[in-house]
Amino acid sequence: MTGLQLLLNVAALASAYALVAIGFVLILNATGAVNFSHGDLVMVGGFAAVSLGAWLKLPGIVLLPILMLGMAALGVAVAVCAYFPLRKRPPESVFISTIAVGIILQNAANLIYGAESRAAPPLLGTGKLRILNSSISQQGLAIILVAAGLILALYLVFTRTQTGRRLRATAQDREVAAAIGIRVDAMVAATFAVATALAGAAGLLLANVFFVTPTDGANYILKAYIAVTIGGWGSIPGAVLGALLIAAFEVIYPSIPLLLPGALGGADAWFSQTVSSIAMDIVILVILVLRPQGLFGEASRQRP
Amino acid sequence: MNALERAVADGGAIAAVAPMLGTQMLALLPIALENKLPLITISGTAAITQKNNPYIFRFFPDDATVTNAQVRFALEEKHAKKPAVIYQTDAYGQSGRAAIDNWLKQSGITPVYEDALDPNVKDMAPTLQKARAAGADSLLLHLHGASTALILKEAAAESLNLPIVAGSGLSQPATTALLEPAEIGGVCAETGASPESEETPAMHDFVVKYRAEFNLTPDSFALNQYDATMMVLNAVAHGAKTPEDVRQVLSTETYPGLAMTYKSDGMGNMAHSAVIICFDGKTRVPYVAKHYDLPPATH
Repeated sequence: MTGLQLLLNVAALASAYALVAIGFVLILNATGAVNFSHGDLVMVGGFAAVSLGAWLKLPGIVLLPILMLGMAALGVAVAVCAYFPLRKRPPESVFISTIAVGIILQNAANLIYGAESRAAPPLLGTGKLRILNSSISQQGLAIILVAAGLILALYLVFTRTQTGRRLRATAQDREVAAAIGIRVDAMVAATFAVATALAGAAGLLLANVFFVTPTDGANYILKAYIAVTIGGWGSIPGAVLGALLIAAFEVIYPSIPLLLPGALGGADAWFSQTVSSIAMDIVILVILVLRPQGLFGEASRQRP
Repeated sequence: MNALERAVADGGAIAAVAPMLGTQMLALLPIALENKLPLITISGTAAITQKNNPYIFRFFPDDATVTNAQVRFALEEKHAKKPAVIYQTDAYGQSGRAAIDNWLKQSGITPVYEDALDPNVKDMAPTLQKARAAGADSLLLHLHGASTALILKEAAAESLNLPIVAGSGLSQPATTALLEPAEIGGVCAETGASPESEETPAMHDFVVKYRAEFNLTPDSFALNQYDATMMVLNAVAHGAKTPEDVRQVLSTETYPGLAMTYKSDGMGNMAHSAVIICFDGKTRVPYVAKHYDLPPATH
């Protein structure tokens, strides 16, 4: 495996994880609550891509905007059902309601699609490209470009549009935002829409290469939570960095014996996939001990 | 566990069709023993019939049987001498790995590389690259369906060109549906039976009726589960009225099913045959490359 292949594998995985983590942070900042159904929303995006692909027989890149629109509507529905009725209650109420939403989504997916894995259509194609003497997957490259495009679009909306400014103001302080005339409820609903659309996009990107099953949600919410915690609670750049760290551990750590052949003196067993997970968790603990606020600091709200 | 306890509490059950996952089966063993209720299962995890529980009846060849076929095929037909073993981290994977290692050891072979994969592992490239770097001349897999599909996809993308004999995860049409025929060309797998290959008219009929009923292609698990259920229903048709009646029949009688003939070895293992299926690279429907019959050990 060349270094370029390795970097691209990390970048592709990190890109998809970053979309998940960013969506998680957006809702966290806008509401002060953790949306425990976020991982299951990624799963729903994956299955939606499977269904759209089977129905429309179009490549993933064409399905993406349709899927994101549908997921945005689902995000608003989640906000209406699981957040707004409970927003004046203790935060634990929203934890429980979003956990319930996740369970409903998982069981609904199981009922509709069954327990077996499914594959979504690729963004463009499944071939290989030769770049600098390395064989790179077309899908991997497409994932990086699409995720980068979505993150850039999000950045532009948040920084260059009035709606984006209102969304940021709501995330920073809901009471002050309301006091200056911003329709906070509408902004929170819009945040859920954007976050869920990003989750759906991540689901589509991941479901071609790595497939999708109804139980995938737990894995994605865990990754999002870890990424956001080590990156800095409430920090979007931190969430991206956290996602990159997770992807790096999943891909680079087990590859170390390949990058340093013969240099480990028979210690290759310490770089298995199983040890990779343990090593990542140890690094997370070390980061939290040395820098409890995460790598990029922490927003004013308390981390649950 | 809740579901089984509710079924027992409702009363009237004389047997139960139990889950396939070894982890869940292990949790149900004490309930079956306490309530003297026979459980029929297609779980392959070896441990479920190693607990001296007379109420467990496994209708899928256990890990020792299928891995025997897997290893023999790899050594005798694919001429493997330096295999790599890649297995799942759960009870199914660890049980299979132990059985594979045991069979290899009996042939005087030590795997050149072994790695355990969590079902959530996405990137299979490092594992395959390390197996190749260790000098593996073949791969023996004991993974669930999705992990099997991921690793075979990656192996095809890397043009690994090593003989691969996978676990029964690859025998499921749901797994092969995730792959292109070219990605599984030349790959083989162990399983209890291959209804999709339609080796007999009875199997053909079963496949036709199953497709009409469920709009799905049956896999070996469906066929073995069908045989298991039919053996119980056959016992009921011949007068079994209580859980003990059913247990007696399952413990002592021989049943000619569609997949194979079943007879308990005294420990609840009913299935003692395995097949190796292979894919020709043009279609997702496998052909049966070899049958292996192992007489039940007496206990």
